[in-house]
Amino acid sequence: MTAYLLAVYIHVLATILWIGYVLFWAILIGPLARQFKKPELAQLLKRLNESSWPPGLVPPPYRLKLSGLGWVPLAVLIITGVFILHYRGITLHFVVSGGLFLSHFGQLLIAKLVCLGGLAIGQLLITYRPSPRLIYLELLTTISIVALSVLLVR
Amino acid sequence: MNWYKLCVMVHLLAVFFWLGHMFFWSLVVGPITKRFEPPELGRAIRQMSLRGGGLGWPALFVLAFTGVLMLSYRGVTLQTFLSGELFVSPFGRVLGIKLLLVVLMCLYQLFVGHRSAPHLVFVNMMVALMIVALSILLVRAPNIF
Repeated sequence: MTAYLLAVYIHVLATILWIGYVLFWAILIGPLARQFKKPELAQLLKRLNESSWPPGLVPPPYRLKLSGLGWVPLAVLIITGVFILHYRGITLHFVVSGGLFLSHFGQLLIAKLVCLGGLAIGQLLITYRPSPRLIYLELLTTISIVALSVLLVR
Repeated sequence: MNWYKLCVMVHLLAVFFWLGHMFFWSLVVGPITKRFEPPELGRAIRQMSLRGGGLGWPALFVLAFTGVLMLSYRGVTLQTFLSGELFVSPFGRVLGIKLLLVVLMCLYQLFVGHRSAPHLVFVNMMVALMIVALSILLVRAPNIF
């Protein structure tokens, strides 16, 4: 039980950081796109993405880039998510056999995983470039994932 | 989907947006942009976090509103709250601690808000982390107390 509660806590904290990360770009890109021309904006976003974190606390080779920081909460969400599903009795066999997806829970889970895959692809390929609409779409997908998660557990 | 689930969704989204914004800008964006050259650019980026007055008060309002609705769904009434009957049970005592911490965050928002408070902001974040932990205990392990 304690490990389960800890996993839920870490899962929620990773969600908070993930949404903070997406929200940061959503807040920033719109106004910056109005202030700067496209090549200047692309250069500024590249500079921001390549900023290292945490500055000062950790020696430079071990710092993360801001662009890489978005992957950390996603990785934590996947690890803790798999653990939480395992605790709830969802085994690999149940997934592979397709039994899971016959249930309402399984269908919601599939919808959530599809949204999550979309987020990961979006982060990998298209976002954080001068594309305000895509970052808003990413924010909307994140909101959908939270909604699906509530339906899964309540 | 009933209105209770809708309340939970809105409550969680308010928490995630508010704390996500607070944590990410305080721990990541602030330290990075303070090293930007020219400094005006870093300052301008930091100012963007307060577009529309920031998220603190709107989030607190949504959290209080949906929180009261969820408590009433779980059978907590104003009478059980004011008479102290609520706080007799272990669930009620944990809820009481959570509400006290929420009051602390409201006081921070009222007296500090968006002003620079290098130490207090970390205290505020610790309080937020404790509130999240207590909330998880309340909904996922009500029998633990």
